[in-house]
Amino acid sequence: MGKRALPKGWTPPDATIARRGLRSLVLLLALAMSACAAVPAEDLGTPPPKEVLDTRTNRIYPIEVPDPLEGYNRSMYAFNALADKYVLLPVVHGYEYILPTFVQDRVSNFFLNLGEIRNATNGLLQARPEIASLAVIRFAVNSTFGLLGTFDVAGALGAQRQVEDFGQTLGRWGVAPGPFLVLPIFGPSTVRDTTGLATDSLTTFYLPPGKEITDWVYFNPGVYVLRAVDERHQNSFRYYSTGSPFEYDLVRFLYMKKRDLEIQK
Amino acid sequence: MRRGPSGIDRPQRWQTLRGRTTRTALAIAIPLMMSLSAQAQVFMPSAGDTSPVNGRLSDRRNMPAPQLPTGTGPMVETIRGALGGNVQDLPDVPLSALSIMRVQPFPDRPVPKLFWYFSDGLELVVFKQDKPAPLVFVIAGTGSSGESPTVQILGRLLYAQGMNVVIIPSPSHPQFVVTASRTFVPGVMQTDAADLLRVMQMARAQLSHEIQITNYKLVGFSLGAMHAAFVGELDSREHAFNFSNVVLINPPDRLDHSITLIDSMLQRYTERDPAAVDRFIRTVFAGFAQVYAQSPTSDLSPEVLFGTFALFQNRFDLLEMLIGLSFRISVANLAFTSDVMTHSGVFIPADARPGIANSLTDVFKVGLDHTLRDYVEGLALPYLARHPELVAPAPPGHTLLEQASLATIGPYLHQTPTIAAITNQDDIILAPGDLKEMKSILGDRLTVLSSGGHGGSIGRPDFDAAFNRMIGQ
Repeated sequence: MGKRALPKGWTPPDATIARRGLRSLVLLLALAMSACAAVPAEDLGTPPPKEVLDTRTNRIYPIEVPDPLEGYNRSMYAFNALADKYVLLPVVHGYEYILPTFVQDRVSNFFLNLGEIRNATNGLLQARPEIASLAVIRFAVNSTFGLLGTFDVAGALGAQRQVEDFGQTLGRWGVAPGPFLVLPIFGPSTVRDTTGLATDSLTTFYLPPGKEITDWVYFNPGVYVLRAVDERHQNSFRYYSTGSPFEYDLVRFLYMKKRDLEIQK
Repeated sequence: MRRGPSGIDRPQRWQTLRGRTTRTALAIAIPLMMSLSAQAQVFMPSAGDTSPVNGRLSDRRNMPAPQLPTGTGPMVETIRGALGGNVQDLPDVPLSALSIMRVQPFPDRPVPKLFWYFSDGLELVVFKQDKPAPLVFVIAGTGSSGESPTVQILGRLLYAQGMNVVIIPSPSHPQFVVTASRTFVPGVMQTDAADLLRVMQMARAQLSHEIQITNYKLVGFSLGAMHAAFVGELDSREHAFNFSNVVLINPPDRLDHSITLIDSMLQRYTERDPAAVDRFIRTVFAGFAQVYAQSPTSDLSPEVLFGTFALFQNRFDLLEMLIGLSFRISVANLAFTSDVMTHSGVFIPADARPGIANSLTDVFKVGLDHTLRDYVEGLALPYLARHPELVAPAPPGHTLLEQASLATIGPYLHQTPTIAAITNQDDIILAPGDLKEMKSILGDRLTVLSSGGHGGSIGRPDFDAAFNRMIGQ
């Protein structure tokens, strides 16, 4: 029952997606270089129920989000799901199986504490000193009393984490999100948020004092892998768990809404 | 910091080897990964079977008790129930007892490219006991999988009673349509029941090596309850399981009536104002933003979602639209999946073979405009009319939709003492007269609780008492 001759994961449909995903990856690199290519979604031949849509041209469809890169985005979404299923999740499940929950939480807190550097710089860049100082205080308290950030002492005392990133900073100063963009492995984003992420990473790497420590944290292959595993462990999102053929549309819609909310906050 | 063999600090040596380009690439990549968690963790309150307790089984462990509004009324209680809000201290199923089982009733059937993620077969959620015990099959409600909160709660209640549990997605869930439906057009009870019985037999064959089964029981919720009644009837003729107990929870009495009621929950607003859904979404997100702004942390936690729910718990129109819209998304999922599988040419041309890169946004927009009745009368029934070999015709004077009613198998339900049902006086899927008809069919084997809307009494003490009595030993 359900037994296959081929090893799991390399059945024909999956292989097609892997190929498409790789094609999309190459495409992304090409995009990054030319910076101005739009890939239209493949045509279905005749457009879907045209007569129904045409009579309602004035209607607003909340689910509609500007998505000029849709063809690439959808392929990458499927590729990410595949990578998640066959690479990331098996590793994460092994990690969760081996380590006690207590240890998993300490690891998460350790990396979340490092994120306070990003929260602080972006609080400053948004001209919101209260957020920047919250992040600095949290970092100071948790790095010391919280044993290198593994315990969220500051949070227990009522100073809860407020995540800020450079995408939000740009949004706060009026930069539009730009087209929706699905990044390889990392998932949903926009052109603005991708710029923000790149900027955040550079500041987080080069800004902090004590270069020896940050070097150890960021450039030790073991820590690098642990960090990636912890990230996926913290994230409960599972591709295709909605069971909806329109999951991409729902995720795209909710991602844009969620970023709006975060920028407003 | 540990030193490498040459006396150079390891990280620096690693850097020297890989060079500065790698370093910069990593500098960009790692935080990208970091922010993934924040980004992808989106709530999908209305996307079919997802909910704030979204995520796979392992993630549900250690879930803090949600703080849900305590309001009453059928709408509030229905939504609270769907969010798993009545259950506070249900014992966890240990990880060692949990598993996902896959069955492939039609292994030779090609899976369309678009549905590649269903190619492993139908996923069943299994809770296993380590001693001889009954095996209970639980059938999920419209558009739901085995991961949806309502059936997860029912499964846990049963597991706590010492039973093995197998949760089966609804035949109306896209995964079931693609992998386990013989006709691809669920909604006809007789063919759905045959599909379900086939899945159950395959599940038993796989499980029989792992657990010791003393007897078989069957539970269904909502549309799944009607399915359970028809599976029970089919089994009474085929004797595959000889269920010792069948429990129907909030069944529709006549599917035709229930469809009209649920379809109208959204329709009555969109008919008056085509932009009703847009305004609804704006209002909800404005409320969401308001609650989120006051939240002490920037995490979009279930508390924020539940806080938004609390904010609107007296807005009858919004609650009704939420239920209507969430149902409508399930219908769009089902109708489009059926259309792709049957090549009916309703949403996309019959000869189209959409792939993973095709935009489905226009299809989704059109799909959301269609009701469950549109699916039944515009897709399912015409397809079956073109394929008379798939299903026995309805008796003269009746349609296949009218056949989907408890009265169709009334004599069987009336005479079988092992079948019992629980519903609520204010269940929103029951039309006037339905409750009376159910009473006349089931007699005192029907328990009617005073409140709870649709599924909103599950986990409440009065429900649990009736349920435990009906399910037997």
